[in-house]
Amino acid sequence: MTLADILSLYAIIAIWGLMLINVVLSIGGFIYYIRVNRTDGRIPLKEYPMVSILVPAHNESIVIRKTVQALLNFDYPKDKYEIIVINDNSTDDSAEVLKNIQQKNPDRKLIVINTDSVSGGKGKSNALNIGFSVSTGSVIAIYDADNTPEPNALTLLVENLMADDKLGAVIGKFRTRNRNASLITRFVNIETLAYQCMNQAGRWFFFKLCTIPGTNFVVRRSIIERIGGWNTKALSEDTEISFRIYRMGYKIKLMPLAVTWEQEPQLLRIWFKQRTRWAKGNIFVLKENFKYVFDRTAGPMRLDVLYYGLVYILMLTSLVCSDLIFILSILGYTHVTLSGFSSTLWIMAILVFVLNVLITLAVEKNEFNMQSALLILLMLFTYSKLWVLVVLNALIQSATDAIFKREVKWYKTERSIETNNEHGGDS
Amino acid sequence: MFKNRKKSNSDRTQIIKIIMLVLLTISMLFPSNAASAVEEPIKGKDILFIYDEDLSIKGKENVAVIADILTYMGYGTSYRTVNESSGMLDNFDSILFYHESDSVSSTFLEELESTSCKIMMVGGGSPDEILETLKLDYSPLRLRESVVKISYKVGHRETETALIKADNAIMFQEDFRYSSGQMEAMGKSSPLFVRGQRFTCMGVFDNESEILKAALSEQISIWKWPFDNEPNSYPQYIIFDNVYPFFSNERLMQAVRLMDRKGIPYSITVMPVYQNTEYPAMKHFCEVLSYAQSKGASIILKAPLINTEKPSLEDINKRITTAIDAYNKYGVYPIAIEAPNSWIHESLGMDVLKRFSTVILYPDKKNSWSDSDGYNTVYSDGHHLIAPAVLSNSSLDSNLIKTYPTALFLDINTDIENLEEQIEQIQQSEVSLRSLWLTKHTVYTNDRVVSFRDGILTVNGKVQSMEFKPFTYPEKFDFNRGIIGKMAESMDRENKRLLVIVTVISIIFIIFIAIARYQNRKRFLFKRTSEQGSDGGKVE
Repeated sequence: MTLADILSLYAIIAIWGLMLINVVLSIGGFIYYIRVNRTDGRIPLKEYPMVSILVPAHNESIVIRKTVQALLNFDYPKDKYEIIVINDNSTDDSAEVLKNIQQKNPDRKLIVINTDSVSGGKGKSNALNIGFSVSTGSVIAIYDADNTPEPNALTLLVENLMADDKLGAVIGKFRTRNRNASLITRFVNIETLAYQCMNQAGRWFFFKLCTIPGTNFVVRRSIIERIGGWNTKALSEDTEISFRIYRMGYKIKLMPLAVTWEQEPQLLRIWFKQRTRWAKGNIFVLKENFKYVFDRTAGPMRLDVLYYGLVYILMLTSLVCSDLIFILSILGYTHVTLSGFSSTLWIMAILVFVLNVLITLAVEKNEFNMQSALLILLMLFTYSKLWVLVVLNALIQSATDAIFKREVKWYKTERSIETNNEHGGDS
Repeated sequence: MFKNRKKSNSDRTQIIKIIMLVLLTISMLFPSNAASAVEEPIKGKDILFIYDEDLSIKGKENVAVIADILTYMGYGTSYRTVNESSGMLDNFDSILFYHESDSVSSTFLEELESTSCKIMMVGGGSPDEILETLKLDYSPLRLRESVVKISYKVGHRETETALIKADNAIMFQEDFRYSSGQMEAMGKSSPLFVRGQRFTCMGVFDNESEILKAALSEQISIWKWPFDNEPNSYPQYIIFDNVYPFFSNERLMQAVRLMDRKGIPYSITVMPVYQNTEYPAMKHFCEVLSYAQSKGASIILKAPLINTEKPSLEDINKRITTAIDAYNKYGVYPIAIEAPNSWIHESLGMDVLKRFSTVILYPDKKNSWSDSDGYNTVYSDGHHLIAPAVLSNSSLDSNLIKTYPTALFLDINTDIENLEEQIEQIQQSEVSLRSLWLTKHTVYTNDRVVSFRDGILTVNGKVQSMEFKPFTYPEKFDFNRGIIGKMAESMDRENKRLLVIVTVISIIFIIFIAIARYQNRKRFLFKRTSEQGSDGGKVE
């Protein structure tokens, strides 16, 4: 058996293993979606808690007006929530835009914190900590500056959180607002629905586990206080805080009817930088928490750490191996001699991949069509390969940061000006 | 004592130095002789095979096939173009001339006139000048690009006929002292072979015609036979070709029993095995081979497949050593090699064959012959060559050749009834059947010499028993594959399982998609109709 045979065998087993895990998660996620879609998701409360909505914003003048307006439009009792925008060391006219909104809405509790390079400009976690320090709500909601949540989102999230004491946080679903802007946003839209929403739903269905996505979620204030706020060293503060919540024995629930629309990177360059930051953050969290896989007291969190391990170690290495062998075979440098190593195996894998993604699109409104099916196929051979490059880049950067003891740098995603016709996916 | 030994060593060194000096001086005195011994390939062997300077593509193919026939027949042959043959004719008593052009060089004709050698012309070129040189008064008719009907009776068989599209053909209308076969074209007929004095001519030749190849070899054997009776006949060998270790043992056993029942000598060509020779499948296979061997079958090793760009002799010999050892371990003794025909023209192939006294050739790529050596080198290596049989058009199991030893390959995959029919037909053949056990064989590998002579088989001088003893098998064989090996081994099976799983998943997903679409229509389409397009909270 040659080295190429061994690597191929590894790649096949790893890819098929991960694919079957995803199939199981999709089945669970689908059942959960169907169940939730039969209800309106509401669990009315006798008394609604005070909610502080934190919005970290750094040079977000292009999108912040729309975001704050959407937050002001929540159907949650107006006197029961405050909006705290942390205008974090912005150099654009964000402060002016926010001041205008404040002036137009004198009756609403809209707090704007303008930080400078001394107190702010140190990333999202630091901004959230600043916002949290002035917040008064017993429930904390987080929205990114490029989000336009639907009016019922906050109500749904808070009602579900307060209805179950075992829940530490409730997350909503996020959709791509500018999905038609470019090919990359179309890919991101499909990826978001399939690998973030449906996957999260499956994990909640089977294991009562979800990872906070960074926006459109509510968390109990007591939890943030107990864990001492957000870790400013973590680039992926959402994953990091999720693990800390698990370790406290709380669950994190997905409420897919609480929807927010967010702007995704329209350019490959911006997407690559954003995803590299996410991957670096997740690698950091994985490195910090991998020890819990072997800790029986860590509870269901072990599964989630293991899942991240599978994605970042098993999937990455198996894709690198299979791509490498594919290229070397074409160039004639190597050939695989495994008897069962057939093209049928790859065709079956592609079929499962396409159906798996299609099922998530079928649940959504206006997503299931022939164009999407073709995009999924295209995505398999382009976008998925880019993911490999992103993770490899993140690994190299993480390694050099560790070797040269460089401080992690928070990259802020650049925003694009949107036209009205690309706004919202469901027009 | 030490002093004496030291002195004696010093004397010996002196003597060696003197001998070396003398040898060096002698070699310097006769440099030209030594060089010519290396460069001069002419050894005055049996036949000088000459051909035109400029041959057509078809002509080159014909020359290659004729050169092979001469080698199979065991003639030492020197190859030359007509011009290159200048000064050589006197060394030979037989000249085979492949000629398809209109004229022959005058030098050659002058030389031919001055010698007494016999000449056979093949190729359909103009024989006029040669006939004139030999003072023969014949008026041949030359045909170009015509369809010729051939009739020829090989030995005592029935007459075989064939239609040939010939670029060149020669017809003679006169009576000859000796003629054989018949050819008809353009309403005329003529013998296929004619002989007058020292001139012999074959009217037409085409390497793609089995009957013409058989006819040529028969006529060459008569032409070369010095006596009045019939030339020697050579046998044919039945060979089950390409038998793999994973071949059904039951099926192989059926064939072995059939051959035993019919009392037919035969051989089995086994594929070389290099790895996992301890596996039960190999052991079972060798048990059947050992049984067949005890019942009179001889075993032949198929030459290793060469699939590397620059194969090395060392590597091939190593592989053959491993393969021979793998079979010998189980008491199975390959006594010959079955190699592609092209190997008798390639230096690497010939180097590999040097380790086997008996070589069975199977046809492979066409036109591989070249005359770069000017001599059929493989002949001088003294092999017992067994060439592929030439089969009759009327019966594919009927071998036309008895002028040299031939191998009649049978397919072990043929069902047993058909195989029996084939065997019965072969038994009717004029060509006798022979067992390889009736001749001597030697096989050299890196670590052993397998020798068979006078009914005794030895390995490195140690006599080996050919008696069959049933093998014993462990109840549970440990394949010792390791996790990776086991996974690889089960991949084929897993593929099938995976196919079932994927089908189930696909059906579930398609059902899910249908459910989701139905629910979405209920949620959005019907709701939209009743609520006039409200979008459930989209923010503008």
